Amino acid sequence: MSNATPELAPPVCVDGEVLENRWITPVTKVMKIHAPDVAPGMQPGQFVNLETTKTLVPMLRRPMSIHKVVKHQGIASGFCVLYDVIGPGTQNLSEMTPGTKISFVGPLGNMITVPETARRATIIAGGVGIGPVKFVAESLQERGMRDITVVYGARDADHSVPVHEAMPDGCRPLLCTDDGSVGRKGFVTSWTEELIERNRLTPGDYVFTCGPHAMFKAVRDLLGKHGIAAEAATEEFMGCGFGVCFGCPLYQRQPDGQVEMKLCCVDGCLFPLDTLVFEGELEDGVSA
Amino acid sequence: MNATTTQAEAPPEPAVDLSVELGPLKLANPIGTGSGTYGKGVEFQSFYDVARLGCVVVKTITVEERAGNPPPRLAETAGGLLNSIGLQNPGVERYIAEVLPKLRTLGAPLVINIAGHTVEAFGELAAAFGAEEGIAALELNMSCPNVSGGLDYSTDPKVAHEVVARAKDVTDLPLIAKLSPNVTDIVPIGLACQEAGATAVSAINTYVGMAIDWRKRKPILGRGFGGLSGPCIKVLALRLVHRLYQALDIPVIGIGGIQTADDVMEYLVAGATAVQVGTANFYRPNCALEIVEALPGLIRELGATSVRDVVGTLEMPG
Ligand SMILES: Cc1cc2nc3c(=O)[nH]c(=O)nc-3n(C[C@H](O)[C@H](O)[C@H](O)COP(=O)(O)OP(=O)(O)OC[C@H]3O[C@@H](n4cnc5c(N)ncnc54)[C@H](O)[C@@H]3O)c2cc1C
Ligand SMILES: Cc1cc2nc3c(=O)[nH]c(=O)nc-3n(C[C@H](O)[C@H](O)[C@H](O)COP(=O)(O)O)c2cc1C
Ligand code: FES
Repeated sequence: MSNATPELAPPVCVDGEVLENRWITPVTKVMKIHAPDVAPGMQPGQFVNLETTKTLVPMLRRPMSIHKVVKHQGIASGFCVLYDVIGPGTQNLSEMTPGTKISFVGPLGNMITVPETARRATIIAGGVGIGPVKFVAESLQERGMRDITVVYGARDADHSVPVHEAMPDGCRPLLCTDDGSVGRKGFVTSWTEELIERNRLTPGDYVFTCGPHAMFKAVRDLLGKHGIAAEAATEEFMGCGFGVCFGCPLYQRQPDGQVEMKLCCVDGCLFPLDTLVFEGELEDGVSA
Repeated sequence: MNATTTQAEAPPEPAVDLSVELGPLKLANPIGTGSGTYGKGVEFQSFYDVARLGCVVVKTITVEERAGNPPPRLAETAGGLLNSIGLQNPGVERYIAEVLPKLRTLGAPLVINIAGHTVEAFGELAAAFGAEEGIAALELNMSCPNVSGGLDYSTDPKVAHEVVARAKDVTDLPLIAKLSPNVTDIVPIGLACQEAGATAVSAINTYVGMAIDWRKRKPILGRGFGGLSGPCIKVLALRLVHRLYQALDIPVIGIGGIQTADDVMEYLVAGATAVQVGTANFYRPNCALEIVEALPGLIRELGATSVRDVVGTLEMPG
């Protein structure tokens, strides 16, 4: 397995065509977009910024992780996003029918970095953090990795994306919900702890995680105790998505111990999990 | 246009002269970019050829490095965006060493935007950039609402005069004074900048505003308040641009809510010689070039053949 990061394709702003836009849970949809010029350059962990309307309600685009790259006879011809319908932007997206032109900016952000020595992977996702998982897991499989566990936690059955939508065949799903309606009752950390206890997750494995801040904190502290590194796909409110508005900072601890602001969209959105500093964790002396 | 003259059905459309002059500064077209909305310019090279713009205005540079304000820095509002970025920049020394060389390759005239925390600091910045190659003009940001320490130089005509005069002392570069709308009357400030030797004024910077999450009883922005930009401020800016056009002899650069060539026409008619596209760069990253391409058609609609023919042609009711 190689960790040579290919040169990332520079982003463009173009129209794609909606091919499919279907419900996969009562609150979640998957949209398939035809974009043959851009899709071949998309890398796992990257995102796109979608225009949801021409009428400025809302004005800003909405960032979405690339859920899957669609291949036609082995050649990438489009991509999918998986999204929860929660506000005006995602409401607009949910109303788009096949044939609609949709403007998107992408590909954006950095891609996963898999250590050459990693033979096994664990993916830990919470809520809509399941968005990027399929593409990430598929690319790990393409690199020859067979042992991939996906720990996935959702609020309840209505919010739990079916396994065949969430990840490619061949992954080991470990599910949980807050109310126990799907999988184990509890949080992703409970499954993760068990994996560690059974030596099914050890330092040297590749770990990818995406979810809310509270989950990041818990996972970071748990993995940290066992010396296991992880890559986190972060989310911040974004003005542009390509590094020109300076609107999307998050806090990251630098190798010298100093905490600095980094831009989620261009410095990430993937960061080493143990370097992230969340709200409420800032000490004195941080320039803010 | 590529109309072929051999097939003499449609007469070729008359060529439209998009060039404009801001004092000694000649621009191929009136479309520039708003400071702080265009990054370092290089980010747009993958969207279109930046050299086709009239000019590129880069994000404000200060003497010292600034980390910027704590998040959240953005709030989306109806037809607008509230920001408190806080002039995040690496400081003049590193900027000249690390960023400026890249900007020189953009191909469009380069306008460097500076902000000092004192009148002296404006002088220091103007002198530093005045000594560099490849800079077309300086824009003096006297109006950013997002930094503390009384940076709001464009609320007092006397101080505005001092800032422009100080910069004028130390550099021969054309000076554009960027004005704040957060004043009772913008005209005396514009006049003071003109008297101090400004080549042009640009109007406007953002309106100070606040967005509130009532459930938390808290402002949405980390710093409490911020600057409002976007389509919702266009009509406010148009009026100020028109007033400045009427009162000043130097050119006015119109800024605020521009996202289409129609918006630009409104500014030109109101009296702007040139314009800057700001927030729209975030959500329609191709739009500045699209405007350059669409503008000749709209100018022709008025029976005009140049930008100059359109500027300030507004007919106010008697
Ligand atoms: C890099 C990145 C990748 C993302 N990938 C996905 C994905 O694959 N699937 C998915 O469903 N969502 C994803 N999101 C979040 C998604 O962008 C927001 O859910 C969306 O912008 C909400 O827009 P809205 O107009 O429907 O709701 P709004 O009314 O704008 O927001 C509803 C709620 O979502 C929150 N929110 C808004 N924007 C963001 C944001 N950028 N990040 C986090 N929370 C936000 C708001 O604070 C509010 O509480 C991603 C965000 C980022 C930054
Ligand atoms: C995120 C953001 C950052 C900005 N930063 C600066 C800045 O550094 N210096 C400056 O002079 N103006 C800055 N501005 C103001 C713009 O240049 C412009 O004057 C204003 O946004 C109005 O134009 P618009 O409605 O087209 O955005 C900023 C605006 C935004 C939205
Ligand atoms: S979203 Fe604009 S810089 Fe990150």
